[in-house]
Amino acid sequence: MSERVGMVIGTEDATPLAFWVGVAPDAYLQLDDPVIVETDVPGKGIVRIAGIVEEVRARHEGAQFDSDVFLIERGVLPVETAVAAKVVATRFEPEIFVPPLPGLVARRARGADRDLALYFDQMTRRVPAGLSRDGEPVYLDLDFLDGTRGAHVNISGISGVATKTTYALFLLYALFHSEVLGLARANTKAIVFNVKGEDLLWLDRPNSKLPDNARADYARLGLPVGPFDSVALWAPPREGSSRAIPAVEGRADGVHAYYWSVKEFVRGRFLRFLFAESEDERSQIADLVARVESHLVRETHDDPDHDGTLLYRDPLLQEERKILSFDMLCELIQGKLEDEHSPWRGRLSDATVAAFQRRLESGRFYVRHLVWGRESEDPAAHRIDWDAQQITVIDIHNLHDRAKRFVTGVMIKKLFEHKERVGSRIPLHFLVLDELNRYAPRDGTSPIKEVLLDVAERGRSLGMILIGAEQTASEVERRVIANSAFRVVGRLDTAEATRSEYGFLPAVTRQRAGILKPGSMILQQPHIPVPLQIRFPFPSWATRAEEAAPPSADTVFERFRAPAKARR
Amino acid sequence: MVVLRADPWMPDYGMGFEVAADEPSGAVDPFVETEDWTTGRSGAPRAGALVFVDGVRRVELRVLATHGARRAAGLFGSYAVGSVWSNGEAHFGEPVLRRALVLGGALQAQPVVAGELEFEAECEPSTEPDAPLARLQTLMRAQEAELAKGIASGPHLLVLADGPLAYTFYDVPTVSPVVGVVKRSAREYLEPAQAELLATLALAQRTPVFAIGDENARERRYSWYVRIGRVGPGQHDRSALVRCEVRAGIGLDAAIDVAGRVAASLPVYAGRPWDARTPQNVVPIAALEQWLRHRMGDTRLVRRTLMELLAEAA
Repeated sequence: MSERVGMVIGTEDATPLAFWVGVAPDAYLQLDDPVIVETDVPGKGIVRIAGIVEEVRARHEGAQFDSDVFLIERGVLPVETAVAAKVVATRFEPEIFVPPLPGLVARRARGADRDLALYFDQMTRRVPAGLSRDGEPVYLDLDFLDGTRGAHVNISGISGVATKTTYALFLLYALFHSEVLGLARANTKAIVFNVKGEDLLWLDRPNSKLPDNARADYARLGLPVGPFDSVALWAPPREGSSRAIPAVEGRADGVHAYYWSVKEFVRGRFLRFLFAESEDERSQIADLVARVESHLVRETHDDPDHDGTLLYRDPLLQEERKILSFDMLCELIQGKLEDEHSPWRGRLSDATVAAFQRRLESGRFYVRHLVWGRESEDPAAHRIDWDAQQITVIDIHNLHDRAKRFVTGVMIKKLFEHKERVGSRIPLHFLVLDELNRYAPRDGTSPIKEVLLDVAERGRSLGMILIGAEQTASEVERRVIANSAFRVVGRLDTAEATRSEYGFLPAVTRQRAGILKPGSMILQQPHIPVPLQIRFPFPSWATRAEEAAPPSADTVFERFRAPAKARR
Repeated sequence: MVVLRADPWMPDYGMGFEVAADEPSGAVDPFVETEDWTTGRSGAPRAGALVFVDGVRRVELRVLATHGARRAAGLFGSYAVGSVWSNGEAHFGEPVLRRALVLGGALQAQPVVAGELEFEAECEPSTEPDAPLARLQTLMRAQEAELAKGIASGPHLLVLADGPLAYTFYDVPTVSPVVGVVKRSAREYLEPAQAELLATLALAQRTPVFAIGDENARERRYSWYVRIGRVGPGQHDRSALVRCEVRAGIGLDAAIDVAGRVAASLPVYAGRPWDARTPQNVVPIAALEQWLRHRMGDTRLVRRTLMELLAEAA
């Protein structure tokens, strides 16, 4: 199967880790090609050395000066052209670390040899991860994704070019539309935050602009072509409306509005996510937030008249008031803190209380439309239920930064608590979150960062898998990235690529990260010692309103045109 | 007053014994083409490949051979000859690589096999210390001539062999002409009256064709000078000249035709300014010599193999 492409050269050192292959004139090797060499070790037999092409060079042998190329072109100077490829060894079978001897035949690995070079033969459960540069499928090992031996994916790259979210969704598509999850597939769920435009609000529609060659890509990966099977779309309600109408522009149907009731807000201790700025956690405000939360939980009771509101009963004064709206809740908190002798304040200084109040006032303004009281007719219908469909898209792109933190914080916390309560890894819950640098920044702490750290460190055993993305991994908390079994890199800023966070990329690959096209990624996985450049197929689900447009309009006109031509 | 002009060649080159030894002697007739030696002549290039033929040699190890009371110097040598074909693009032809054990003083040698190296035995009657080296040179020249003749049996070529024409060419007709290109003429063939033209030849111009050797003599040949490079400031007026020769057997008209083709074609290949023998050491020849030396193998390894062999035999 594997075809001969050249020989190990002796003019460059061959080492167990890297060696050069002289490429025969009638063959070629390109970057990322898998190569296999068999070397005979005395007393041990044949050792198969597999590797990946990291660099290819061509040169004129016999030419000494740069200007010689012009003489060569005119037929004055005879030279020989030599092409050599640097191969980085990935695997030794059996594991005897010897260099391949110069003169040994090098083959391009195909079939079983390729599986050996890329460790695909050791993956019992393979998830299609994209196509290699030569168009062959590349897989990732589900064992390292579902928590068996590792978990989490981290994706870095420049916005707009790196197509991070699209790749995250491709991974989900591959998981949900292949057999790899087995019986657990139906119950495996994903929560995706839509942070940019309304890109993700069309996942349930086929992509009418899908190029024909993309179908072949899907076929090679063993995936069907189509939209996501099971999608729930959630958007925040329009501000200022008394009815919960989802605030989306492009799509009129199929989107639900989400909000939480005042009761959920109090019982779920969501207040802290109004104070999600990273500096808040360092100050004493966090203490005050916790105090207020527990007073509220202790001193409020169910409202017999409405499922979403609460009754407040002061333990000392025996006064009782109804909390019918989020504004009333905020006023209650403000009032309690105004009182110098209130137990709510504890021993915290006036300055801390004042800072808390200022933040509550400004935060309350931005999330007011996300927490409903008596005006809510059916709180349960607007509560995001991530188990209803396989993929739950939560739109936050139009929300203010504070509201974004609030929604993501609440959702991640709720999901994490749910997983803790259930206590079993299977079925898995995936969480796709872009702009990780905002939620889990390298410096400082915040309630969201705490939750994300919990997910990164304990999610593996709880079956909560984070697919995180960011422009610059250097700005994201190290532990979040260190816990990711899979590192994916799209187009990177050249300066960013030199940071130590990308130390897993060899120098050549770092340079390549600066010129990656949209749709191409560099994938590093635990099995394979070198990162692979992959491309993933054009999305077969719609990512814009135009792509979701039913293609029938065109075909209708086509039908009219065809006979018209025939008549002429 | 004595006038000094610079020679562009590096000082190590151009004074070798082989130069003068190989150059033909004999009566010179400068007027076979024309009596007008006042202006240089130009030519036009023609379609068809130019083939450059050259060889290199190397002494791997000097030996002292004894046979009873007789002693003589000898050597293990390697030589390689090859060709460069240039016709729009340049490539190397199939090379020939040989090795020889040359013993002087008429001592009989046996072929020697050392590892993968095979040395043919050559017996040299002279006892002069340099005689084995001269013999190695002769072997190489003979191989060059052999190769050039083989190539010249093909049509539409112009074969440019490095150095003066070997004696084996004198009476053997070839399909394509073989031109000997002498980088540096050590002999003075022209009378002062004609030699004046050499100083004034422009780039790609040649002198009229002249004859060397007696009419009907086997070694008679037609020759001419060509300027293949510009004379730099302060350099002597014989720099950038090569002397070419063809066997007289091809006829005067054919010789004049070839002279024009060479004058038009060769300057294109002039050696680069940094070459030690610029510009006469034309680019294909320089590349060929480097390539052939490489083919002879690493002299340190050859030498070590021979030393081991001799040590074992001792």
